[in-house]
Amino acid sequence: MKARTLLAALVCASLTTGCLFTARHELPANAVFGKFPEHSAAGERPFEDSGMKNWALAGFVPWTGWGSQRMLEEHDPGSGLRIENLAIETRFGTWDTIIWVFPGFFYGYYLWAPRTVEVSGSVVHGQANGR
Amino acid sequence: MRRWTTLLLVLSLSGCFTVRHSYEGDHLLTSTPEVEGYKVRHVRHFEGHDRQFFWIHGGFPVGEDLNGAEQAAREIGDHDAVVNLQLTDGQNVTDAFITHIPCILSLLCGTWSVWVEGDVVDLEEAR
Repeated sequence: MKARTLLAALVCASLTTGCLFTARHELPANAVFGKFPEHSAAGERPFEDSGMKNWALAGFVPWTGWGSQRMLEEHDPGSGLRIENLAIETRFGTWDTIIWVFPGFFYGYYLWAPRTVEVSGSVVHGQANGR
Repeated sequence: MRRWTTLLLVLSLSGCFTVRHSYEGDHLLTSTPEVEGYKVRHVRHFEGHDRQFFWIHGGFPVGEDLNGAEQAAREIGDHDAVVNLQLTDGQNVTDAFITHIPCILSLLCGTWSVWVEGDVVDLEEAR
């Protein structure tokens, strides 16, 4: 009975606040979707990275602060280089699913619900106006 | 036994409620207010929201996939780029209601949302 009451309270809290699993994607200064007009494929170096972002209470409370921006900053290509053709994906992956199924059957999700964030792109030489 | 059956069922659906933000076109979208090497001429501000419906805990998407970058790129029209791009995905109050109540805690179905905001600009070569 207590578990059912707790579950109902969590669902109500989620519905009241209406912001679950919210991931905001901000790009660092040298990273873009698409490509610069003077894009050149010469020396292009693709990269990809992924990480697990954690929420408590069915996505109601984020408890790891990092998002896609931090992951991209870790791939900072340095001076004179840019990240182009970005792609950012969020999903419930296999490990996310295992984590919230095992601890408490289906309702483990209401205690700890991770979601995977994956970023990919290409590091390219950035020369303003192609010159 | 029930637990293992559920686990196998759910694992077969991993990748559920997937949202991919990507753009393959010739324009440029960035979160910063400036574009290196170019002067930016502001055209207009825009905000948008898109929602997608999924069956069975997000395992089976219905309709066009959510893609905030593509959605922002559609706002460019005849102009050059989007700056000050803000991309968010998750569930708002409507998604949470649909997913938790009629969809029975996402077991039957659910919805996910993407929000985009930014400024459409023209780019002029900096001298």
